[in-house]
Amino acid sequence: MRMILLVAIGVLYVFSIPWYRAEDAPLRLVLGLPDWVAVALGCYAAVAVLNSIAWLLTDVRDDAELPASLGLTNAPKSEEPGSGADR
Amino acid sequence: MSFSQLGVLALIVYLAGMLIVAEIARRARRDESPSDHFLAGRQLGVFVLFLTLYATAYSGNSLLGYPGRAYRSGYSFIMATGFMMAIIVVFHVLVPKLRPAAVQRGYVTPGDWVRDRFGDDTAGRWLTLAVGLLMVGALANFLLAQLKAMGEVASLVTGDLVPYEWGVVGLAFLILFYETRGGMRAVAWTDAAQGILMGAGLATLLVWLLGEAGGLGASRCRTAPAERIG
Repeated sequence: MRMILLVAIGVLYVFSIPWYRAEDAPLRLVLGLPDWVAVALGCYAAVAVLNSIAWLLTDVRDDAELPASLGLTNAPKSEEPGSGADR
Repeated sequence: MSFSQLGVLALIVYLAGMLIVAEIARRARRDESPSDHFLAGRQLGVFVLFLTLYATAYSGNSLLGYPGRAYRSGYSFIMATGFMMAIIVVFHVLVPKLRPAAVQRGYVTPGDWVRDRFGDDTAGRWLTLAVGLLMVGALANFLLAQLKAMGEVASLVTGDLVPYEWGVVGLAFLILFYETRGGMRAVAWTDAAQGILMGAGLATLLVWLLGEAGGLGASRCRTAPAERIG
């Protein structure tokens, strides 16, 4: 579900840019704003909502196993004396 | 009392308020560790974190710089809204991986991860230094905008009773003082207070501006010639 929301956020960002609008398209106003501005604002509002939901669905556990992509293979730093870790 | 004197009074009350909040934050510290000073012991709640992120992202540059830039550039600058929000979106990539690593391995700064990942030898130390310099370079531009905004606001609200230069230098020293003294907890708590003020102020300003201008459409017609709208 979280991944779907993040993909949706990406799609909203794509549609927030008026690449689909012809350069000579007539000006149409929505709530006093050009239509493409209203679309962009609507996309950003939706991004804010979806992002909030995505964060609510994000479970960050402090004791989670560290992913290999971080490249941390040595012993935990906090066990080393004088390492600058939490004291 | 003139507007300038009222401005000076407001500035003094505001700064005194920030110093009090920062002092309370200092007294709330749990120990003298780097983690408590630089990360507030990793114990900031959601409310304070939200407000401190809000006040950090939407600060002098967005309150003073963006409106001017938007007026000059036209509606295309609406894209800046999305760019600012993207900061929080990108956290989805970084936080789930880095937060557990930071807690388990006791990182205090991003450079700690770089040194932990690439080793504590000469190359690792140079890389950490390079990362630090890159971050300073990237943030300096942002910081300079804040300093400029502080000077402009101090000069504006006090009718130049506090000159621009004094605003920049004086306020920079004051912030440096209470943030050095209180650490990240003072930063976060003063940011939270400023975030509440900023949110309330911006909401009030929006309602007032729209009321004065006669609505969104009318305000657009009054501020921009028609050829710049599309």
